[in-house]
Amino acid sequence: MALIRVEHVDKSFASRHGTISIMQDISFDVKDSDFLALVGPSGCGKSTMLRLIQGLDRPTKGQIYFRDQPVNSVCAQMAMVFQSFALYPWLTVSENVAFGLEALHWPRDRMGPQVERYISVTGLDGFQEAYPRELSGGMRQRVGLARALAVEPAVLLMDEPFSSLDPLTAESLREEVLQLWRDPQLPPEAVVLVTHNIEEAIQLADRIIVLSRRPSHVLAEVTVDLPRPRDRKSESFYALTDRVYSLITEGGAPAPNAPPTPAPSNPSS
Amino acid sequence: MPTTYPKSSPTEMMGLLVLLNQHKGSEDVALLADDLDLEIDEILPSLDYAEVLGLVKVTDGRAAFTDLGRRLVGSTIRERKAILREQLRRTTLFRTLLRALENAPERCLTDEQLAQIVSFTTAPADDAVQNIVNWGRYAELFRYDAAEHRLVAVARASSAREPPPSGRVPPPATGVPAPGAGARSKAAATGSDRGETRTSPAVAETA
Repeated sequence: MALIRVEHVDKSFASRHGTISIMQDISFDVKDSDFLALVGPSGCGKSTMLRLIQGLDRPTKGQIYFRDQPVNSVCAQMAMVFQSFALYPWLTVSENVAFGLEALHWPRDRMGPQVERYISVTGLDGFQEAYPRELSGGMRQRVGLARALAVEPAVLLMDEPFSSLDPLTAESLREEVLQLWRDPQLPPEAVVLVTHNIEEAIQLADRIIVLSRRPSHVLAEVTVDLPRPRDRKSESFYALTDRVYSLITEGGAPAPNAPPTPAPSNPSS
Repeated sequence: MPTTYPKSSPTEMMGLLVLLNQHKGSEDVALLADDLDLEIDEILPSLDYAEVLGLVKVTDGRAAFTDLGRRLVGSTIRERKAILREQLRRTTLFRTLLRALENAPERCLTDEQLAQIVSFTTAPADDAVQNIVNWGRYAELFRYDAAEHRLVAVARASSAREPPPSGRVPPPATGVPAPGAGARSKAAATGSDRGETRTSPAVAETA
């Protein structure tokens, strides 16, 4: 059974230059225990798609289902991790992690142990009382991860979560996310990762949905059938990278008669 | 008694180990760096500290896991922390620091006292202090009071192994020579610490 079904979704935004179509007729599934990546050129609406999936925004046309129920408002079974970490600087690590639980009105007595558990599984023990400014980027994103996981979401939505980290830190956190996803004792069941980094998508995901340039549509669904940990220098890895690159560069070229993209606002980013 | 201090964060070092694991646990250092589009000098701080902690062995420019390093990458995030904690305790730096902390009045040390104890002469002290604090906190060897800029000892059963507080504050700058001195006396190294002879020439080559 599909955990999430995205069916014939269109999204457009009104701007002072008229309506801008971000995506047209997008359909794909997120399966149980899936690690799905959405890749595509910048501005193709990848982040917008995550917002639609979580119910933070509504499709212009089409429908998204979570466990066969239409997503019509913010879905509490999903949690998001952001590129910018999105932590509250005036709250400690513990308080930031508790924040998602407070929003869901968790009872006070259950909140403490839950916060401790997710601080521990993400490797944040020892930093409970620290403020975000005391933390490195890697540790900050761990807080973002702990906050998302503490609500025990079925689906973890990740919006370019490793893009603002240095390469070694990113490598470490990617592996930790895989570890958490594979642990049957821990959430989430499925991960949906948005990234512009094709190698990162191939390194992490079981399946990759390749989106075209705006207005985007699904160019292909690529299955990544490589054992983990994946060797970026292996031939099969190269072959997949090549394939996704070609899909994006060939399929993503704007049609000769496409209207020019309005410069001032980019609602999808 | 040579010592060396961390010049990268625990997460960065872990990233290096994850990378090495993708290369089946043994790889030329230059190729490792190349895999992440980095220069060698950008991964050396992590590689050096992984070697200090006995997780990696570098021979003829090739890095390979030790048994412990292999065990670490196969462990959960929590188990990794426990392994790192034990390895850090064995380093001259953290052994000295923890002993000083136990013996300090109110079992607290300010950043300045920390810098004195490890006697920085060659490094930008702020970064180095930051890194040491970061590692100690990550491994839960001590707490850190950011408002007061001071390390605070944690009450632990294992701290009983440390010498009992004698009321004597260890004289600063004698316990641990400067990092450069460690490199010069590498041959006389005892314990698990390693000199830093390799870092500087390599950095100079690639800079």
